[in-house]
Amino acid sequence: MGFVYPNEVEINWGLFIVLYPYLTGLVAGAFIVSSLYHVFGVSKLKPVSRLALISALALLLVAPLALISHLGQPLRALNLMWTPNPTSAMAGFGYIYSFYLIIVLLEIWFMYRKDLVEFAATREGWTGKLYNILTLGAKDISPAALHTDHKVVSALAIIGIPSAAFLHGYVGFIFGAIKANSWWSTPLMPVIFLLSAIVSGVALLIVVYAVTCWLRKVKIDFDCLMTMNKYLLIFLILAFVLEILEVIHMAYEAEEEWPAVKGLITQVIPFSYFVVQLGQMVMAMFLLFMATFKRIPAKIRQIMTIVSGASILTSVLAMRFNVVVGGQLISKSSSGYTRFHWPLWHEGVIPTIGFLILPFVILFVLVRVLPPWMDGGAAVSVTKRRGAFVPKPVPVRGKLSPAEPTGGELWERFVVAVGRNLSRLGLRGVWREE
Amino acid sequence: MNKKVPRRQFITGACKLLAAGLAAPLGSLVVQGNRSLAASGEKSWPEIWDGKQWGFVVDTHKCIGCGRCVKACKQENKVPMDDEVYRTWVERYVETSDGVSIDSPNGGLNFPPLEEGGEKQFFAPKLCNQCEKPPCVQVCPVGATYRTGDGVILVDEKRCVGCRYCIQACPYGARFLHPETHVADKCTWCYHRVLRGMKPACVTVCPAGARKFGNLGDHNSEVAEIIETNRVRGLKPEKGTKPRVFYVGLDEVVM
Amino acid sequence: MADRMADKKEGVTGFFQKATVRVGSLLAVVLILFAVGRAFAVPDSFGEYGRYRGNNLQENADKEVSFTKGNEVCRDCHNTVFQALTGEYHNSLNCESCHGPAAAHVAAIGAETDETAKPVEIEETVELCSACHAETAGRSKEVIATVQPVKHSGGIDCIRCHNPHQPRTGLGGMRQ
Repeated sequence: MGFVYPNEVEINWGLFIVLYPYLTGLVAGAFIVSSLYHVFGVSKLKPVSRLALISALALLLVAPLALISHLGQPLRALNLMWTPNPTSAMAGFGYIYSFYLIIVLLEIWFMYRKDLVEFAATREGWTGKLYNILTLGAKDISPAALHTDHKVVSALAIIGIPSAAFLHGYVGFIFGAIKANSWWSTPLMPVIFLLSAIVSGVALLIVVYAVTCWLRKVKIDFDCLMTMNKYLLIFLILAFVLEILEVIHMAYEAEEEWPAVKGLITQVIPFSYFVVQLGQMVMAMFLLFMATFKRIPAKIRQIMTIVSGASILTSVLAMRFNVVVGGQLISKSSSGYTRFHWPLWHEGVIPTIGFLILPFVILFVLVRVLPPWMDGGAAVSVTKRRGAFVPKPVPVRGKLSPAEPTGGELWERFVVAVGRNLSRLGLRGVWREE
Repeated sequence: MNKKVPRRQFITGACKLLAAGLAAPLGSLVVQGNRSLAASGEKSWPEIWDGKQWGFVVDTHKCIGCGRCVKACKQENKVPMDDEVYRTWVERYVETSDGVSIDSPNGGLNFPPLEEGGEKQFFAPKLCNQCEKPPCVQVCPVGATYRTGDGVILVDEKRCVGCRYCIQACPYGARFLHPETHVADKCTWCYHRVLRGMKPACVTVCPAGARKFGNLGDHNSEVAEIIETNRVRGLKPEKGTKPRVFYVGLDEVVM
Repeated sequence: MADRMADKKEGVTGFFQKATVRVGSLLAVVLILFAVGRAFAVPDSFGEYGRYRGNNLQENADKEVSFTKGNEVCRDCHNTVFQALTGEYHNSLNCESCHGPAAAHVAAIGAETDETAKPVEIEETVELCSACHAETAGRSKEVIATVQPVKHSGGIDCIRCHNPHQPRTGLGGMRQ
C-alpha cells in the first residue's frame, strides 16, 4: 500500500520480538503480585504468592530464548555483556535481565529453603540427592535461621519491585526512544508497557490459579480471586487510560506523523487494535467491575473474573503485536505501509506458539520440584509426613485476615517494611526499629 | 545459566590461543596482498583522518533514473543482486491529479516505463546519510557500528549480533540485514575505495553527474563548492541527525 | 567476618547464616567468573579509537574493489578506443558504467590464466541502452535523448545501427 523504502519490504522485528515484551510483562506482573503479599502484606493473596514467583521464573527462563533466536548471529549474544555500548537503550538488557533473574532465583531459594531441607531428608533416591544439592549444604532450619530466611525474602521482594518495574519499563523505553518510528516514539511508552505488564501478569495468575485449582480438584479461594480481580481492575483502568491518551494526544496535535498513524490503526490493523486489544480491555473492565457486585452469585463472579483474565491475556498479546509489528508497518517515508506476512516456520507462528507453551511446561516441572500450594490440597500427604508445612494459618475466606488495606496504609506498610529490612541488613544507624 | 560461564571462558581462551597461532602467519599474507592506503605503510589511524570530512552531494535535476548506481553498488559491495536490500536506491516522484505517486521498483535498478504524469516528475537517489549524529550508532548495543574520524559510519561484521535495532533507529531506511552474513549492512560510501583514493562506485559510474563525493574539509573540493554556492538541504532535518548527504533541488515531497 | 559468624554453631541469629553466606559466596564466584570471562572476551583493539573494535577499520579498508578508479585505468591499454571516442555525448561517461566492473580484469593483467584476464563482458541488449534512453516518467527529454525502444526500432539491438562510442542524435547517430 503506497510507497515504502525498498529496504522496508521485510519486517525486521517479527513475532519473537512480539513475544519478548509479552513474556517479560507477564514476569513483571506475576512478580508484583507476589510482592503485594510479601511486601505490602496483602494477605489475601497468600494462596498465589508462591505460585506467582514460580510462574515468574518459568516465564523469565523462556523470555531470552525468543530474543536470542531472533538474532542474526545468536552465538554472539554475549557481546551485549562483554562490550555494552553505554549510549544504547538495549545494551543494559543483559545486565538488567541477569540481575533480575538472580533476585528471583534467590527469593525462591530462600522461600523454599525449609522445604528443600525437609525434602532432602525425607525423599529417597535421586530426588533426595537433587534436593540435597539444592540446599547448598545449608541445612539449618532452626526458628532463628528461618527468621533470617524470611527477612531475606522480604528484602529481595522489596528490591524486586523496582527491578521488575525497571526490567519491563526498560523494554518500553527501547521502543519509545526510537525517533524514527512515529508509532513508538512517545515518552509514555515505558509507562504503558509497565502497566500492561502488570495487567497481563495479574491476569495470568488468575488463569493459572484457576486452572491449577481445577486440575488439583481444589476449591478456588474466592477472596484471593476477588483480590486479584480488584488489582486487575485498577491497573487495567490505568493502562487503558494511558493507551488511549497516547492516541488522543497524537490525534489532537495532528502533527505530521498523525496521518500515517491514523491510517495504521484504521486501515492496517483495525481489528487487532480496536477489537482484540481495546475491545477486550473494555469488556474485561466491565466484567471485572460487575464481578465486584455482591448480589451476583459467587459462581458467576468467579467465572467473570476468570474470563476477564483470559481475555486480558490475549488483549495484551495483541497490544504487543500492534506496537512491535504495527510500528514497523508504517513506512518511514510516511507514504505507505508494509505488509506483514505471517511466517509459519522461520520466526513464525509455530515456533511462537512453542515459546508460549514452553513456560507452562517448565512451570509444570517446577511445581513438582517446588510445590507452591498454600492450601494443603495435593500437598496434604507430604504436609502430614513432615509436620507443620504452612508457617502461618491459612485465612479462612479472609475472615481471619485484616480488612483490605487502603492506599495510604499500603504506602505506610511499604515504608515500614523497607525500613525494617534495611535496618536488619545492618543499617541500624539510619533506620530505627519501630 | 551461571554454570556455563567457566566452560565458555575456557572455550574462548582456547579459541583465542588457536586464533593467535593461526592469525600471525595468515595475517601477514593478507596485509601484504592488499593495496589499501593504511596497509601500504604511508599513514595509519588516526592520522588518515586528518583534514578529512567526507561529504556527498546529490543533484536531483541531473538524475535520469538509469539505475547504474544501484547495480554498481551491489556489485562493488557484494550485496545479492536479487534480494530486496539496497545500500543505495533511486526513488521516482511523479505528480498526478491524485497527488504524488512514488515508486522504486528493484530499488530503481530498472524503472519500467510509466506514462501518466504531470509536469513535475523527478528522481531522488538515496543512500546512507552518514549522519553527524547517527541514531544507528547511538542504539547499537555492542559497539558494532561506529563513526570514523573522517565522518563515515561503518559496521563491524564480526561483532554485530544481528539484533536489527540500528535498522529500526535509522529514519532513512538505509540499513538492512544482509541476507548472507546475517549482520546489519549499509552504504559506507565505499570506504574501502575512498581509502584507496577512489570515489564511491555509484559516483564513479553515474553517467549523469548527479552524484558527487569529496572532502567537505577542503573548501576547494567540488562538493564544498556546490554546497557553498547552491541551495541545498539534507533529508528529514527535523530528526536532528545532521545528514552529510546534501540534495540540490530537493522537493518537499521527498521524505 | 562473614565466615567467622557462619562458623559458629547453632543459635546464631542475624544476617550472616550458613544459608546467606553460601549463597553470597556462590554469587561472588559467579561475578568473578564473569569478570574473568569478560577479560578474555573483549577484543584487544576494542576502544582503541572509540567504542568499537579498532582492527575493524583495517578490515573495512581491506575489502576488495570491483570497479576501478576510472577511465585513466582503461586508457593505459585501450588508448585506441579513446582516440576513436568522438561525438558530443558519451565522452564524459565512465567505461565501467556500461562495461561493468573491471578491477578483476585489470588485476589479471599479466596473469598466466587467460580465464581471469578475459575482457569485461557487456550486455549487448536493448535493456542496457534503455536504462538511460528509454522514455519513462521522471526522465526529462531536456536532460537526455529518449525513445520508446519498441516504436523506435522494433526492439532490435541498438548497436546494429548506433555506435555507442560515437553517439550522435538524429540520423547522424547511425553507424557510418
